[in-house]
Amino acid sequence: MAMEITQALLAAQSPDTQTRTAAEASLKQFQEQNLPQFLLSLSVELSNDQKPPESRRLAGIILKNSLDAKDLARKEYLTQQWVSVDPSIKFQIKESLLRTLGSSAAEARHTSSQVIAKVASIEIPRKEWQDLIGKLLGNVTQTFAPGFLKQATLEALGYVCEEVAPQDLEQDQVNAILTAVVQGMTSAEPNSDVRLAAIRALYNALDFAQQNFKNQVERNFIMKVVCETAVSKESAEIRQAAFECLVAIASIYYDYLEPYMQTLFNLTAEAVRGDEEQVALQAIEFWSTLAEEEMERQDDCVALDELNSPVLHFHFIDKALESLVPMLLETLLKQEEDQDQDDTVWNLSMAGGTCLGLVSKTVGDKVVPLVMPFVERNIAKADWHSREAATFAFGSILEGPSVEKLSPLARSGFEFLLSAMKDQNSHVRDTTAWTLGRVFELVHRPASGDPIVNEKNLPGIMTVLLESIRDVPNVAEKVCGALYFLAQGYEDAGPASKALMPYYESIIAALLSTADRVDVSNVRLRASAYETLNEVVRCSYAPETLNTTAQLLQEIIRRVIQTVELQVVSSDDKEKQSDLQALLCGVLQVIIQKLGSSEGKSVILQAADQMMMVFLRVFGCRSSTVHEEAMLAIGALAYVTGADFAKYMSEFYRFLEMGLTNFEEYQVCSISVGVVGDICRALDDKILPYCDGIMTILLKDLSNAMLNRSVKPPIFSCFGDIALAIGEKFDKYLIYAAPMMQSASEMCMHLDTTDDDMAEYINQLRMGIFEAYSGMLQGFKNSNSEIMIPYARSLVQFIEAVFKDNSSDDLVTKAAVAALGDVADALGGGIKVLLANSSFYNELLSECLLSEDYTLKETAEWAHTLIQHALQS
Amino acid sequence: MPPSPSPSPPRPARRTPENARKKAYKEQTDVTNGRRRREAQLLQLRKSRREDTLSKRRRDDASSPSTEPESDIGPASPESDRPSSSDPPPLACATDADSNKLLGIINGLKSENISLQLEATIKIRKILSVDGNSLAEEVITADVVARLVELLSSKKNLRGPQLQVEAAWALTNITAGTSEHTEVVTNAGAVPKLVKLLESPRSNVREQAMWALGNIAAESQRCRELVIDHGGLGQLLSQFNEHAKVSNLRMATWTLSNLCFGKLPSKSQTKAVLQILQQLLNSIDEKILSDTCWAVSYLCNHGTDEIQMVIESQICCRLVKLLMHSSPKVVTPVILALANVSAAADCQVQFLIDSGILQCLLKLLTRNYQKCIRNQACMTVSNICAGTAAQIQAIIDAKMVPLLIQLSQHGESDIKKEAIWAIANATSGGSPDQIRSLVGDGCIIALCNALVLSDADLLYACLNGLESILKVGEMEKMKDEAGTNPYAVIMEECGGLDKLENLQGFNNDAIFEKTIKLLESYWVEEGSEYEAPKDPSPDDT
Repeated sequence: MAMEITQALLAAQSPDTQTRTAAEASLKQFQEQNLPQFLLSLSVELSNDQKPPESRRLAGIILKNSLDAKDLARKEYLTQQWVSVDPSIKFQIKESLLRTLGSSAAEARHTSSQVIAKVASIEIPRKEWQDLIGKLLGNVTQTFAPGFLKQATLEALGYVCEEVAPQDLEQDQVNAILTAVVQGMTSAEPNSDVRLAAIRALYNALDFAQQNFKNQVERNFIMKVVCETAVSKESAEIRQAAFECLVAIASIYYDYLEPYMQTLFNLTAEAVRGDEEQVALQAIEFWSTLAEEEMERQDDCVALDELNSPVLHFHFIDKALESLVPMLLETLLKQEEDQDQDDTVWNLSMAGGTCLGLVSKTVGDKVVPLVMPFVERNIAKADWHSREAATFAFGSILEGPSVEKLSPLARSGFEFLLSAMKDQNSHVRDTTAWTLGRVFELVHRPASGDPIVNEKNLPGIMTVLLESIRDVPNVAEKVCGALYFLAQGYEDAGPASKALMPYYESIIAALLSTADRVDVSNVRLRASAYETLNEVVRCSYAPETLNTTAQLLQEIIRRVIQTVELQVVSSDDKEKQSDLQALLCGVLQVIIQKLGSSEGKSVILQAADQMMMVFLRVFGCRSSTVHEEAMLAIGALAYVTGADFAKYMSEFYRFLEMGLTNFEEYQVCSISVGVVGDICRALDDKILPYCDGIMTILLKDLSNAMLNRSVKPPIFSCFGDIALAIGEKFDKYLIYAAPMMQSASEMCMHLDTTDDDMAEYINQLRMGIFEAYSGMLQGFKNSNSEIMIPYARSLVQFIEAVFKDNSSDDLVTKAAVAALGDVADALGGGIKVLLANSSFYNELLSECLLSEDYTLKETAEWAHTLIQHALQS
Repeated sequence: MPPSPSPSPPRPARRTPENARKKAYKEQTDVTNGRRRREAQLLQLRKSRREDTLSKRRRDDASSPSTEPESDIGPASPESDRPSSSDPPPLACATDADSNKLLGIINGLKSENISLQLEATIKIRKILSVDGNSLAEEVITADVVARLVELLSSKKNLRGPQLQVEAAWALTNITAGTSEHTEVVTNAGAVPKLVKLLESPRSNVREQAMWALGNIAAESQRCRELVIDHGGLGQLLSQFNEHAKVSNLRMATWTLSNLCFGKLPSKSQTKAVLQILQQLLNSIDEKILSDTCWAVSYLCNHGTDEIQMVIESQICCRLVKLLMHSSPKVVTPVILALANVSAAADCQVQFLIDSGILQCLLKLLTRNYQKCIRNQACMTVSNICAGTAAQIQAIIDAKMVPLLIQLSQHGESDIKKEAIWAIANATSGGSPDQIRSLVGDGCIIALCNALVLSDADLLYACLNGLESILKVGEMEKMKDEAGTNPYAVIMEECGGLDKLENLQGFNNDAIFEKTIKLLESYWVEEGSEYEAPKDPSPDDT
């Protein structure tokens, strides 16, 4: 078999399809017939230096893929599969992998270290392979171990740390790993490959070092070695890896940083000013990370109970400001030609400006006097680098400082910015357009008494923007952004709301022709043009723009039809078509909402048939993204048409079903579930003929373990929507739906609320469950409310559980109180039995009556009235 | 399935910073996230439509069986409290209409129906919260206040807590007024009941009670003692627990700081307070931190015993660190506290030096802080300068002297004085070596320039300083070939001698004697003119 597998592995990479297919089949057969032997053969192949590199490479890949997969369910399956392999064979495989770390072939060593980590990720949490760490450390600490063995072993240690959770390793194991890794980093280690592997391993091991960082001596030592490595003369790669560690330390161990800050400042400053770019970028990243960390801490400080877990906040950014800002400003002058045309570039000036933006958000007003002299000095210089840097600096500090501080600056610099849109250098124009957008977004304030844009300068601004939107694509994209924010500012801006209306037609025309540009290789410009169009329409002053928007509606419909008629040959064509359809359906959705809620409703009603036809044709092209956008638009349309939507149902229903069953693309599923709710509210009991189908799918979705959990809460809400729409006719679904609600309620009580994501999910789930009960109780209220009696008890228990668990937010509490009221409302005196032995509801209500949230208070008052009445009846 | 260890939750992948940052470069988030935004908007819309549908159904029914209870259950919601807003503007004296209205309110207050009580209490609270409301004076009568105090201990009813909050709120508004108003409240026996409310399970009840107590405590030492005698301090301290909300902590800290304004009756109370304050000093909520620091600074005001307890509670180190806090709201009380500590015994002062205070003071004095902060900082320095030789050495080592000299010449007047005090203290108490160093930095000129001031204490201190300097100068004289006192020479050259001479006319015995002593000891041999003042200047009055 050993010989055979080598050949099979080689043949599986053959350019000849037939050979390849046959080899793949025989490998698969081997795998299915005898998995343990198959895995063993692969590991032997990988470890054997006599074998060709190609077969070893594939053996390694198959091994890895037999242990781990991105998909969670598949991963769980693979884990079980490995666990059930005979222990003696597993032992041989692991020994073979460890041996491979000493192979002379670099690639085999590398692959083996990855596979070791995958095995460790399964076994270490199960308290198996407990001697792995010891064995790996043995390799590193041997005095005469060859450099490449040490290097591969350190790499393996790093990967193991990446795969395994901190609680799965004992503290003494962690200590030993850190000792070995730090040892490998010091200058005592002669081999620079080993040092590089060591510092990279440290990066992965940092999460494990909680205890070590608590200890001052150990912490000092780790910091010292990392800092020394950050100035190591050997290679930029090593220094870069050291700075990556510092970045990670800044976010994981912020609390301990204070004593090292002076050193760290000097280190980063030297790297930014003098080291190679890859190192300098990490040094800037250190400060960006620190700024983000401090912003987060500022937020937490209000949110957290400070006595219990004091959040430390040292104001490092604030304290370093006077030296930090000049350092960042210097980097801004290091632009490259054409960097804005190339999405893959990431250089010093981009990183520096981005960091300056974060710093500005962290410290606010204080940054302004440190930056403005630089702006003034450079903004008019002959060298474009200076002009661009000055503009970028100014644009970067527009978020964070107060509007009071920024407004006079923006005002006095505004004319200059407009004129800079004609700068001979496109990079300057790009940054200027972006900065204008920031001014509109952050400083403009049209509703204030004294806005930066006023009737005097608006004509000039519009001339410049409408001209510049024809500039090169990257500049045009920023101009779209500027128009976007300019338009957004006028939404509900009081008397100023109409200001942009004289330009409404010409803006739309400019955006449509921008979307049509043929010189656009970059898809982003088209997307920006359409998204800006959406915002311009959304924020327009409705009565006056009705005709123009109605014309736009026709134009967009025409464009969708065009896409359907496009010739689609390649998969690339298909993707382009569906992207464009997504953008256009987005515009339709916005127009439907804009006109549907105002005098323009008749326009939408007139065009409804046309639009529905267009959506159905888009569905016909079948691609998930389009599905979503068209679905969203249909949801919006149903609200406008109301019960008339019924005439589209027979044709639309199969697409709706398609969406509801698409559990692989869960967003499609989720949006479709929402649309069911929209349609229920539009159709009321006219939805009835479709309910059997819909309910069957929804119930199936709920019990589908493969469906992303985020879809489940909306499904419960949707039950409520359906029950409200069809009233007593819901009775035949009740025996299926109610048990699902009960088991979900029980699940909520047992899930871990300490994890933030989980806590949020639980709240969504609770919300969905309450909405389901409320819909049903209200649906049955007038005819057949007794049918709810068997389920009301578990609802009351659930409300009590939610009330006693303080992880629920106000919205959930409100839904709980409302559901309690619904019980009283639907069951009347029947509630007496339910509340007989409990007092919690009084507490719940009195707490809510005291709430500062007016709607919660109102809901509680309503519920209280009903309960009192029910109890007295 | 056999129980298997649950797979550990996947750790959050450490992001590749570069990609995340690249996205942030010239970011126009809203523009690129159009779809997500539209979806969120639709979701929002959907939610509100669902709610509309539901509430339509809910209201549908409320009309049939339960019209009656609706009216008897609730008081009008605060929003519908129209009278106070649509009333004519307040007049100097209450009109008849006002009086009628007031009568209605008072009747409500006295009724036994909790809904009416609540309604009336809210109205009173609103009347009191409007400045200059003509009705306010009429509301604050012994009668009404006594009833409000009664309502603080409302029965356990669904609306009880709400009534407690409103009554406490109304009382809070009264105690924010004049001393007489506060007295009406304390006389009505509000304090014990408010203290009792601190045990309420409801955080907003406790918060309102604390507010009222804080106002009362701010009134006078007698009021503070009243609160403490009724167990208010202990109850307040128990508010600082792990379950407390931030808003509660803020209120509790503020109230505590008010109680600390006066001397606390017993040492054990001070200790207990310090224990809490020590924890609070780690808070990063600026409001809490600021009030905590005020509390500490008040405690330090009460005497050396309190200062010793502050030092023993090991918070000085943290206080010194807080000198570098970014908000003046924190720095001001901190420097006041530390200035007090610096005036205490030498060994107490040493704690501050060991905590690194000098570097902080240096920064406070050189940067653009508010004047009062710099003034206190300078006073702290001068206090430290009055300490032991080792402490003076610490000042020198911290390179503080050149700054002090500069401030003594160019500082604003208060700061200038403090700087001179510092120099005078340092020179008076310094060892010979230290004095040489101080002279090297220019202390003689600084002290001489100060000889024209009119503050007798300060003048005397300067003379003391100069005396010490001149004494050391005598030692130098031995080494000097010319046999002159080099420091006396400096004094002559900078015009200090002239100023010293002029001081003979200063109307203060101690200064006169000191001046004469200096002139006689160091200059008398050079000529006879200093033996005695020749002719007392005519304007010597």
